[in-house]
Amino acid sequence: MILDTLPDIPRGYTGLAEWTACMVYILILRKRLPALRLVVVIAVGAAGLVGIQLIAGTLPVAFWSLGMALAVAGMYALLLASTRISLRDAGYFTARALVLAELVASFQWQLECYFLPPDAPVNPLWRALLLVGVYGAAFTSAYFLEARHFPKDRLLNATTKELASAVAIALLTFVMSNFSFLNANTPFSGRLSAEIFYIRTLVNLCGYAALYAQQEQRLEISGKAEIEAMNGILRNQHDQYLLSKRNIDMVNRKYHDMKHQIGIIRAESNPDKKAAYLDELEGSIKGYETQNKTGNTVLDTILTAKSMYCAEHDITLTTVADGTALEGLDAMDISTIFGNALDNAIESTMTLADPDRRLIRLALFAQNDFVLMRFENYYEGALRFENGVLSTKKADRADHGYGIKNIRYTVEKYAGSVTIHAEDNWFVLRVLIPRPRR
Amino acid sequence: MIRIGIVEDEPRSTQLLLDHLHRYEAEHGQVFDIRTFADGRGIASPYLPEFDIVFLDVEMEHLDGFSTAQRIREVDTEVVLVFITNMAQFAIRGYEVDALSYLLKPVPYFAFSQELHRCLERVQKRERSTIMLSLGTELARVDVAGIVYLESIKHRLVVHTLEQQYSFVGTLKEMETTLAGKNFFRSNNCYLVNLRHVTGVKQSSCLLIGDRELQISRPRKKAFLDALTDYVGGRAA
Repeated sequence: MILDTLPDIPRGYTGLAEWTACMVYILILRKRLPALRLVVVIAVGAAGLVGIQLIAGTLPVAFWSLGMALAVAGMYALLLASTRISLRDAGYFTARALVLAELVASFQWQLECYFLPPDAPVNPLWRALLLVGVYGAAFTSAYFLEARHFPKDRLLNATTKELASAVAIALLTFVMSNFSFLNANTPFSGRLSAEIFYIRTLVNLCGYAALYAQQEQRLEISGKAEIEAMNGILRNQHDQYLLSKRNIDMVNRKYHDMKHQIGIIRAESNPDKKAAYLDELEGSIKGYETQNKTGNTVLDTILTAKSMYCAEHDITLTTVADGTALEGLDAMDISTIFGNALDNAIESTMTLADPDRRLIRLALFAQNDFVLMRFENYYEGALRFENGVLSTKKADRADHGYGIKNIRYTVEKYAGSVTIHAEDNWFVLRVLIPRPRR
Repeated sequence: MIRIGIVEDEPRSTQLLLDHLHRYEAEHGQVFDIRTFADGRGIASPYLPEFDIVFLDVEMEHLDGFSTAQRIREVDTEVVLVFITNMAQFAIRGYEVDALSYLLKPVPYFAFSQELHRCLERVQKRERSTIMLSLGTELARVDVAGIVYLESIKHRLVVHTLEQQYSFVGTLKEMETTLAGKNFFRSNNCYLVNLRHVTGVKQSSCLLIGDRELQISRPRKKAFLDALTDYVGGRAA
């Protein structure tokens, strides 16, 4: 140990830095507990982290790594207890919090040793002021930097690989930055006592930068994946639309053919009974022609396809729709909104055992300068809201909630709004789009 | 008591609806005043606004459900209309007469009870509410539905109604509390807007009845649109 000339960071400082670093992430993330209990947990965490450091400080140097392991475990426990995150994500945040704590503690101590040398007779008030000032400024900036990286409404869902690389970066940073303090006789140890503080700060800064870059890249990749998934669904809805349009055109052609044939048959033979039978036959296919004439052909196609599907699955879909209200909306956008909303409703009602309860209602109308679309379906059981966003029960994680996301994305293009509510066992999705004034 | 009309030319279908209504009465401890009509002409020539809810068969021989609904609407914009139909496509234009849902024959009890539940909620919501304003020495009773918006000017409040204005000492905050749950929205520091009278939205303002335009502050824009979406797409059956 070469710390004969300059003492290392006081253990209490380290504990405080570790706790404050955890606080940065706790403030950013969604809380697990109500305010009062949260404060208690945080207070216990503060006492625990400072306590661990003070106790570790009394142990011989051989137990140094044990003390640090305890401190890391304490940070992990504090993060897990106070925020709504998974075990794996807690590990990811602990790695970040540890490096952040080390960086700030090291930086502050470097400044303190320079401006207020430990052996100099300085009023303790100045030391306190420097401590609070540097920690306050550093952690506040860290908060703003990190808040941008971890939006509240999204779960982190770090993969094992990402967790491993974050832990590796943190561990490496930690070991490299502390080499000089454990053993001065390595190629990586500083020998000039004042310089080693600087080296430590720099190494920690590199570690923090690496973690920062890692998260930046994660966000970029997940953003790309999201756009891709959304585009995929958009294409799907559109393909479906084209497909059903072909089917319906075919049915319409068939209808005309049959009508023609029936006419010929009727002209040839005259028994009353046969005519009645033919009338019936005509009546039975009449449904295809008159179905869903809302005044918007795209909507008609979607509604026809979806109501056929509903009929097959004993779902009662009732539609009141003024298709002319959709004038000015892109065909692709109409199919995105109606396709996704109806698919969601169909998927939800299909899980109901009693066919009488499989009810879907659709209303589309214009009022003043607004177009309103309302999709309602009866449901039983609990709807899950994850981070304030409705989470679907879809097994395919990649499709997770993209239906509604897609609708929002589309509606926002028209400066409209989408709201979702669960009211008396009815799931209600409302879309409002302002119409340009004529 | 809730007054319900049934207009239906098939006796069997009428009986089914009556059975459903009686079952609902028994299950929910309600009592309805029910009248039945065998044809649209029975209820609509002339229509007297004495019903809260009317169930209307679409396919009737003399005066069909749609024409009946139109006649009813000429007299009564408030009554809740529910179409009963064999064919879904016959009711798809229900929006023309403010009938935003319908029931398919033969009407199953579950769908019927859900529909009735909404209708009853809508009837209850319709009840007129008024607030008292103290204008210095006198009091004024003001119909909430008639208020277009409230404006705060220094220490005074101006209540703009469809007919007139009331000015008195007060704060928007107090009025926000008084009008909570009545579909008013604070669009910025000095306006409290009745969503009922919003006719359009622009980039940073909303249009009100009578071509008035009020600012919406940027941070409140999203919440304003969401509230408007829920209001316009509200529980109107």
